[in-house]
Amino acid sequence: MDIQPILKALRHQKTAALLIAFEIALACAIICNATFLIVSRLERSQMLSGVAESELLRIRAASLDDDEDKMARIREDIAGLRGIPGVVSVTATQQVPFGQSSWNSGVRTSPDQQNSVVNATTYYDGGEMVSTFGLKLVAGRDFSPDEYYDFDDVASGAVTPSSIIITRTLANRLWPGEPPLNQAIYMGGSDPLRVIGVVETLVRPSIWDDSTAHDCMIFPTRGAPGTQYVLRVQGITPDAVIESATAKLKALQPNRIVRGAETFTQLREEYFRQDRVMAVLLMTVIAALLVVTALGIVGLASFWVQRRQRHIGIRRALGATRGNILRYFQLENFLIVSAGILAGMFAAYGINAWLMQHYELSRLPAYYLPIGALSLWLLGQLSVLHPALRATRVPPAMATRGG
Amino acid sequence: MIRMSYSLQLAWLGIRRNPAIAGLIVLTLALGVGATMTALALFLLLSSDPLPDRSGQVYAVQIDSREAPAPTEDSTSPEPPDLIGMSDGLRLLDARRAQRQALMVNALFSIRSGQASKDGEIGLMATADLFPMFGVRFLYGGPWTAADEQARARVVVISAELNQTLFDGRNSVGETVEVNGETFRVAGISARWNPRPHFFLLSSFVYGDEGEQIFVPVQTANELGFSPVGQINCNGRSALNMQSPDPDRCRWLAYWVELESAAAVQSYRDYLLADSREQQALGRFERAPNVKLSTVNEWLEAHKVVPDDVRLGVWIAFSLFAVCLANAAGLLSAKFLRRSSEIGIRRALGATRRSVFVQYLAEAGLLGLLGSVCALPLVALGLWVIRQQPVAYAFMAEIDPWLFLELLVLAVLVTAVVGGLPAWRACRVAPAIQVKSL
Repeated sequence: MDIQPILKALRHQKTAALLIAFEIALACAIICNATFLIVSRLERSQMLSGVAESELLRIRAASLDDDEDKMARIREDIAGLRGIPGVVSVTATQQVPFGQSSWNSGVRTSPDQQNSVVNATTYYDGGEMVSTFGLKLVAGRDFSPDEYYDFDDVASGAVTPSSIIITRTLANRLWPGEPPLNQAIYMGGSDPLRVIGVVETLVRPSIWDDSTAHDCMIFPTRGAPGTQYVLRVQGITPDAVIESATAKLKALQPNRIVRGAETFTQLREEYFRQDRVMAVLLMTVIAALLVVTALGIVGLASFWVQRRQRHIGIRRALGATRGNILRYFQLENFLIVSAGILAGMFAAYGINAWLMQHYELSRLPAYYLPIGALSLWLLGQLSVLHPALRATRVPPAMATRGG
Repeated sequence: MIRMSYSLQLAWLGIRRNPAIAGLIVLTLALGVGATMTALALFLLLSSDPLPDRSGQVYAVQIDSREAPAPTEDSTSPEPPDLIGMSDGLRLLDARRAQRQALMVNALFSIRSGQASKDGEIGLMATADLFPMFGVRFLYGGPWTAADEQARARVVVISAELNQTLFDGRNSVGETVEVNGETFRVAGISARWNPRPHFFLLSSFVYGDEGEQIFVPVQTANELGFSPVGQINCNGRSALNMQSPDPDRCRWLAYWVELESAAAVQSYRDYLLADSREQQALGRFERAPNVKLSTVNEWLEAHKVVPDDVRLGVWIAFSLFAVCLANAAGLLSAKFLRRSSEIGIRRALGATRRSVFVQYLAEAGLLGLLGSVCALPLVALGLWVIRQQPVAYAFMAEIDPWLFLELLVLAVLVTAVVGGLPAWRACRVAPAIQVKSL
């Protein structure tokens, strides 16, 4: 069909056509960016933790640090918790994946290096962490029982730590392309820490930069301040042992405060809560946007059909088929929407550039543009269908009537 | 006056002439206004002043007690740390150089009185000026005294809520409670107090739905070895031990002062600088004096208290509003142009362009008003949805009638302006041609 007459007709309703095109442009820009935001948020909330989340429970009690017999108490607690039916192993640590609070340290790869190469988080393994967490060793070995030492002995200088387990991401960052086993890293002083094992992955308790989310080190350290327990449960769900674990800790030391227990599923959910809420909010906005745009197109198209009844009648009388009339309105809509989409694509990149500046967002991948365009073309065609079908029912006799 | 009501009457007739289009316009506007209002209401709530009336004269104090930067330190932040240590805090406190001053840190307490007990209650270890400075009101009794602090007296202020649990809400001043196993005397019962955001110790939490339930003099708590919760940073290799932080080398307390005038601020800043110099001379401070005083608002701004997502939400809502306005304007222009012949007749009969313009503007404004009013239930729904969300600030989402009214006026104005474009096009219709086509 010739688009010339359509363009000519549109010139008579410039304002409305331009406004609709403007609306489509805005909608296109918003939909592209909002979809991108939703996808990034949802992807982020799926971040790998490296631990057997569905089988783990974290329980925290008021600290034992003032206790003279801290180490004995922790041993008692671990033994007590391990005795609970369903619990297969227990570890003590000072931080857990997605647990928010974390210990971090700068790491160097040679003693004379001035600046830290990377910043990594430090997990203190109070015994059996690798097996309890369900970490996967990809090289080397787990700590042997005689490698563990007490935190207080390190603090007083009686013991110098010498072995660590690190994640594969951290290994690749420190020694790209080299085997990490037996390499040395240095933290505060000049004593080397040898890498004895590499785990596939483990996430930080709190993430401020997604690209370093899996830079972790594990030290065989017992009795760190803020010691908490992680229980691996099999055969039943972790939340089924919350009550008995709490009761157990209370029974072992009646005066202490048990600060609560969470399953790792809960920890993850809490950690990414904001991301999910935002994704839902954005989806609502997109839905509202599509509804509004569709309503606008339906309203305006019906209006134009009504206004052009005589014009349609004349065309029908002159031999235009119903199909011609239908396609006229469809093509008209397509032209307006396409103009909007074209402008909208530039706007989408503009908005994305602005978002990148202010909200630490990455560049909008190009494939979001056709997605936005396609959805709006579809929306336009669906919205115009009903008014256009009404137009096809205008009888040719309308040509003879005035008004 | 007569002309205005005539315009409104015509506008109403115009709306009724085509109820479907008018309905669409109202619905679109309601959606846009509703979304914008919801986002804006949340934004304004979150950026609201936690200490109305006095936030301008309450200052956060920062001094730089960090160790000398290592020659290798890659990023030396010029900003002094947020928190201070016990020794520095007590020294500043004892100097009493501000109108009011208080040292504070959060802690978890277990409290018992007879049979009733509460575990893991969030509270503050603080000094007495905190109460008047932060506007904590009392139901019974009052704050402890400076003498109590000096004597390391075992006195405590408990919240009305805790008083309800422990003493069934009666006046319990003078009675004893067991706090972390030690016996304390109740000095006062505080009225509900929960500033949002939790500006004075943002490292503990930012939006809490309860607030502190118990207050203990920090000197007493320190002597008894009560451990704080929150953030701690230490100089050198001292172990990060939250149990009994090193008073000289670790920082874990917030220090706030009240200063009434610009002159007082200046002289207090001078005092802080002199103090830092003295500490440097004594060899305790290793860095050059670096002090900072921030009002509550400056403090919240610097710590980015309004979540990025909420800011982003406001932009999203405004762009949705823009789409809705474009949509409404498109529909309005179609609606107005359809009545070209009517305009032609009115113009031919002597109506001025101005009166035609006013009439159509009135119609647009009226639609805007209807749209905004219809937005009210949508705002209520939006805020209800936000309250259902499990985020820290969700419970704060409530409608503020004044804000709603302001936004309503704004929406009507914006719609009228947007309606102005089609109205202007309508009034330019040439009378003759339209009359001829009849």
